[in-house]
Parts: sequence; structure tokens; C-alpha cells
Amino acid sequence: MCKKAIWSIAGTAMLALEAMNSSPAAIPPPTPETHPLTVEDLLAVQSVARVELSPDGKHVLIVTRGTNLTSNIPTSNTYLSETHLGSELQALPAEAALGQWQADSRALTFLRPGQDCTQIWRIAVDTRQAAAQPEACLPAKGRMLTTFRWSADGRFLAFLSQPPPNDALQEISQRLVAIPQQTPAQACINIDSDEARGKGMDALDLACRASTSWLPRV
Amino acid sequence: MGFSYGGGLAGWGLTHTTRFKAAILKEPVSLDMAAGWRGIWGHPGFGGDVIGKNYGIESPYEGEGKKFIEYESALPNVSAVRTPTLLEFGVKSGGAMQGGNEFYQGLIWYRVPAELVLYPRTIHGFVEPVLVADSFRREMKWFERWLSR
Repeated sequence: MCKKAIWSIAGTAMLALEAMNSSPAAIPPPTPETHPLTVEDLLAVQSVARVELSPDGKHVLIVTRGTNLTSNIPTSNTYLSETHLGSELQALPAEAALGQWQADSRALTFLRPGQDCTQIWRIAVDTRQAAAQPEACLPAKGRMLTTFRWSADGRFLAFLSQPPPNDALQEISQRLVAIPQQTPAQACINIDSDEARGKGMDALDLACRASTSWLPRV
Repeated sequence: MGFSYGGGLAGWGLTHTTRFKAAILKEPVSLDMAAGWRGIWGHPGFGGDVIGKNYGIESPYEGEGKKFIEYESALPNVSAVRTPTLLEFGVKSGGAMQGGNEFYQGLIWYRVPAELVLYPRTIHGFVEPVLVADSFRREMKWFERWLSR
């Protein structure tokens, strides 16, 4: 159903384009299956919440959002697909919704909290297999690691960490930290100034760009 | 109809025209822009030092600055509203509700048809499906009621 929903959105857009490019056509009469749009129809639509193209444009991460009135919880689905029409959607784990592409487009990466640390997982686009990077273990220290970005050369990772919901550490709810990845000899960069604190992703971008030359503008 | 800043703009619009048959202000930010600005005016980086420069305001408490931000606010001009208005807020939306109840009370005082709906457990942005559904149904009903006249 989800696949249908996504491609029906794409299909609607294409039909609209087609309509714009062609001469006016008669509007087909209503059929017994059609009815005026209802609130229930609207809530049944899976909306596309995020689309992240791989840098080479060959693959795409798609996150959809929907609602389940029976359970009263919002729903979300995450998929990986090739970008040509008719491609199959591969369902991904929920954590992949915040995934980021490697700069070489060979894998989609995402963070998955573990008992002792948060691990980086990779989904290689050729095998479509997900695997943890055992050498990459990010110490969370009671914090959630959320948004992250790779450096252009894939050696560094910048991420946003924050206390879990309702944590007593709300006053320091957003600290920006960049650490070296796979190259321990590199100096750590700790962006934890008053200026950077509490400003979210804009600050992450600005602070990292100001402090280093490795983080590309996203 | 507008949500968030769009709701604030819609609210401001209602105080300056009677051309609309019905309106819905969903989490408008803010119907009391004057209070909103004064509430952050002294905060470095986010208040008078930034807003003041951008808008050429010396002070929101007196003179032209006071006049300007009160003109920019919907609440001080509520007596001009004639449009039936549905207001929707999440009870956990904090500052988004600034001036919301006061605007609603003003509409009632001036006998403008109005409803104020407060959604439990809701922050700035409706997430819980049954509340989203309730909101959509109320909005449809509101427009059906007033646009059919």
C-alpha cells in the first residue's frame, strides 16, 4: 500500500505536468468508486516526509509518515530504492530514517543506540545488507545522538547529541561535538561554546564550517 | 486559514479586512506580537539588538516603536474583526498560545462567532492521530457552516 501511495504521489505530479503540457481535455465523469475527499481519505494518505538522494543520484532514501487511528500513534516507514521508475522499495529499519549517504554513494549510514555506545551502521547499496561498523563506537554518556553529517572524505563525523526526553539535563540540551572517525591520531574538535549551544543544525553547520575545513555545506 | 506564523498572519489579516467568510487560526504565532517582542526584547542575540535593528525600533515600550508593534499585533485590533473564527491550540505549545485566549475573549465580547479548541498533550504541531482527525473534522465543519451561507 505504501509503495502504491508513493508512486501515486509521483503519478499525480506527472499527470499534473502532462495536463499542463497538453490541450484542455474533458474532465471524466465521476464513477461509482469516486467520492468527495473526506478526512478519513486524508488521514489514510502516507505522506513523503523525507527524500535523500545519494550523491551520485542513483539511489534514494525515502521516509513516509502516516497515521493509525486505531492505535493512535503516528506511523513511519523508511525505504531504500533506486531512482529509476519501477524500482522496488526495500524496507529499512526505523533508525535509518535519519540516515546519511556516504560521500562515495556506496552506502547509506545510520546511527543505532546500543547498550554501551551508539554504533554506526552501513547499508551497502550493492548487497543491500546492513552491518554495524564494529570499530565505530560513539560514547553517548546518557545522551541521544541524533542528526549527523559525514565529512567529504568520509573520515570525520559531526553529530548532535542531546539528553533523552524529560532528562534533567535540559539546560544543556544541545551540544555540538565533532570527533575524528577511524583516525584516532587526529585532534578532537569540541564545539561546545556558548555561541554554538542551543542553536541546532544551523549552528552545527556554521560552527563546523568556521572551525574546520572538512565539513561540506549541506 | 493558517498554521503557526501563517496563523498569526491570518489573524492580523482579520483585523484589517472583512472580505473573508470564515477563518481558522491554528497555533497562530503570535496574536499578541507586541507581548512576544517585549518578552524577548532584552535578550542579547534574539531581542532588541536584532529585531530593533531590523525594524528600526528604538523601544517597544514608547513612541513610534510602541505604535509599530501594536499595529503589527492582531490582539490590540480585535475590535475590527467581523469574520467567524475558529482558534485551535495545543495546551503544551507554550508561547505559541500568546494572546490566543485574549483574542478569543475579544471576539466573544464583540459578538463575532468564535470557537476556541484546546488540544491536550499537544505541542506546536499536531501529531497524535485522533487529535489530528478531530482537528480536521472541526475545520471542515467550520468552513462548511460558514461558507454555505
